[in-house]
Amino acid sequence: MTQLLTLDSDDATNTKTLLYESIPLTGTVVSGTYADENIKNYTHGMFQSVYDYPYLSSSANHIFDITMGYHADSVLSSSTAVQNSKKINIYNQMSLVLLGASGSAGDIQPFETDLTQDKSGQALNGFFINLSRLITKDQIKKGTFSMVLGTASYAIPGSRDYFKNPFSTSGAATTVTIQDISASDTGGTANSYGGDYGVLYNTTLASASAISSPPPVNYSNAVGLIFYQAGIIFLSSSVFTGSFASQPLAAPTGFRYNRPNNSTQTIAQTFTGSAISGACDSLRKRIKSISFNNTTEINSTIYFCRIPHNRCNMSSNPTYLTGSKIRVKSVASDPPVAYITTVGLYNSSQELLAIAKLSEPLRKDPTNELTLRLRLDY
Amino acid sequence: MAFLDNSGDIILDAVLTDLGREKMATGDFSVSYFALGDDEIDYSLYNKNHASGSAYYDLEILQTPVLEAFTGTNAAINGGLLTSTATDILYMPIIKINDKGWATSAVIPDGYNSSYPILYLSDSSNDALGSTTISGILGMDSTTAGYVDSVQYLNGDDHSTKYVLLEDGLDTTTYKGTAANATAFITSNGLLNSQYYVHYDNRFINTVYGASSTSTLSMTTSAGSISVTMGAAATATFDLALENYSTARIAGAKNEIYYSPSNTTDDTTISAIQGPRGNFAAIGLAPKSDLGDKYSLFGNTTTMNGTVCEYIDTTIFVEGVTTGATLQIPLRIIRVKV
Repeated sequence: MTQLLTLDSDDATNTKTLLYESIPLTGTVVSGTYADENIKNYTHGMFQSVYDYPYLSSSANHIFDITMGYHADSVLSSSTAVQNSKKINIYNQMSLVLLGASGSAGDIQPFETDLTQDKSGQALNGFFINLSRLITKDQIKKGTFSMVLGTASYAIPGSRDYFKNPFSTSGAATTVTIQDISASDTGGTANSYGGDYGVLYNTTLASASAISSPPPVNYSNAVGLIFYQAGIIFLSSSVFTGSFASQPLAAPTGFRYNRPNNSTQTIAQTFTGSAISGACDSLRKRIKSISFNNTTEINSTIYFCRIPHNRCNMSSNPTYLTGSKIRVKSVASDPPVAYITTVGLYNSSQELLAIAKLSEPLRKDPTNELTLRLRLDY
Repeated sequence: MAFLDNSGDIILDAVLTDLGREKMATGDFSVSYFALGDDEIDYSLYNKNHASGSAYYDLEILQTPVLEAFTGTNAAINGGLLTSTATDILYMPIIKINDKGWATSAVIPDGYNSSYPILYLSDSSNDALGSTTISGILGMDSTTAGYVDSVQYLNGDDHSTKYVLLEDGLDTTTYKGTAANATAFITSNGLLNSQYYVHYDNRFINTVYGASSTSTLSMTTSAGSISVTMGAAATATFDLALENYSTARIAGAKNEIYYSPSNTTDDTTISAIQGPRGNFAAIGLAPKSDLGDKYSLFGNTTTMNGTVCEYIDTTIFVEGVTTGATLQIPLRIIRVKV
């Protein structure tokens, strides 16, 4: 019979461990490598999903969704706009989930590119990148998010450089790096219905002092928000407006965002004149890289299995005896020896609840006393 | 100055068993005990004669590869480490079936001393439908060419006169089987099994019967004597972690077969234990009355003495409650096929 030893309340303790993984997403996976076979668009047209492999394959993993929308009060909102109600719905949905409704009337709160909901810095139009839990795990580690976007425009239709490559270096600097540089585990974030969130800055143009952590910071270079637990990036459309050097953007003068059907669209025209999927395509093809650290919270109970020197020195293993003689002894005065390979945890009904194995047999005899620490992760 | 040995503190990652997950889901997960296992260890590899000295005795054992934990059926620790108050013992009790043949009610498994013993258990559920009974087939004397002599079997309908007689004790010729040695080497060392667990497959076995604690097993100077009162065994809560297995608990009674120089018959011709003896027990079994289609689902057919029979093979495990000594008995439930 397996002999049970008692575990007292003092023999167990709970710990919480945070594990971090670095997640680098390269732009070639997001657009290019798989010729968009890893991009799934839906008939409802509300968002598009990005996989790390052609999505018809069972090997494909969902890595994020992209969608866009605007507030009903946005100047872009118009009954003539393509998918107008869906774009408003997306914005409203995200706002309700991440910010909650405001006031007694339950108004939709506009996103703001700062840490306070005070109607300043409102961003009524924007993109949403919803990262999959597969890669964000429990949350994105604060202060680790970075995204590089190509901002060269489609200003010159037919020009191969500009048309094909939003990262073109012909002309002005054409990538911006967007980071949550002021956020950390100890500050630089605010709290809302959607959990902790931080501000995303265009750090390519911003001076270090302007975005130094902790706040107060200069939000003039803020271009969006990142919701750490929800794993959602809100990117204001302002990141693609204006002209180089005069605005927090790297877009050259005459910047064009989208090029549907051999025409060109500014970002505003794209928001109104393109379907959600088309606008998302243009953003997706500008993503050069995304990187962040995810966080996995592991709650563990550690059971201290204390084996005194005078316990568990013999075995009921069928090979322990030959006839009735103990194999590991030559004479009666030899100390008994047994070898541990397994530890089982039992409830009060003596039912086996968990089991752990040693990597190699562990000798137990009356001259040693062991404490085996069993960690059970949840 | 050398480093201290810090190997006494080891961290292990535990995995939940199926039951553990179930308890977690229902909010009943609470750990109260732990136990240590050594199922992978073959102690016959312990080489006390290693030429290089005692440090090498367990070299091969320590190199034993250990399997990953598995969480499903039979995740349990089969053997396990024990604590004995007496560490200066050289012998531990084992459980054996009495195969001496003098007790007419004591059934000996067919082929008991071969590598493939089988304990037959008759199921009479088809007796009325066939031209012969299962008892008639199993108990047949071979008067026809090609037929075999009867095999001993447990009678599923009569557990009072057919049982397996179990003895435990020190199976060694080093110590005589005297009453004094039994006290000195078994009782005083806390190695007396006053009860035994019987683990059985509850799909096939309905009831386990055991001898009462007032039963007697002894010998005169020349012959054995047994008086057993059988009764249904108590159920026991025991997680063998074998799917479909239940546990019954049967009593042990004092084994009073003793060596004496004045005996005209040696005690070892009466008892299966060669040295000091602890307790004895008897087991009777009754199969489920509704095995029916289980014979085709889990069993097979065979022809015994000209009659086609169907059978189910299973195993019962007997375990000493105190010492953990175990005995595994292959069981064949058999009936006439109609």
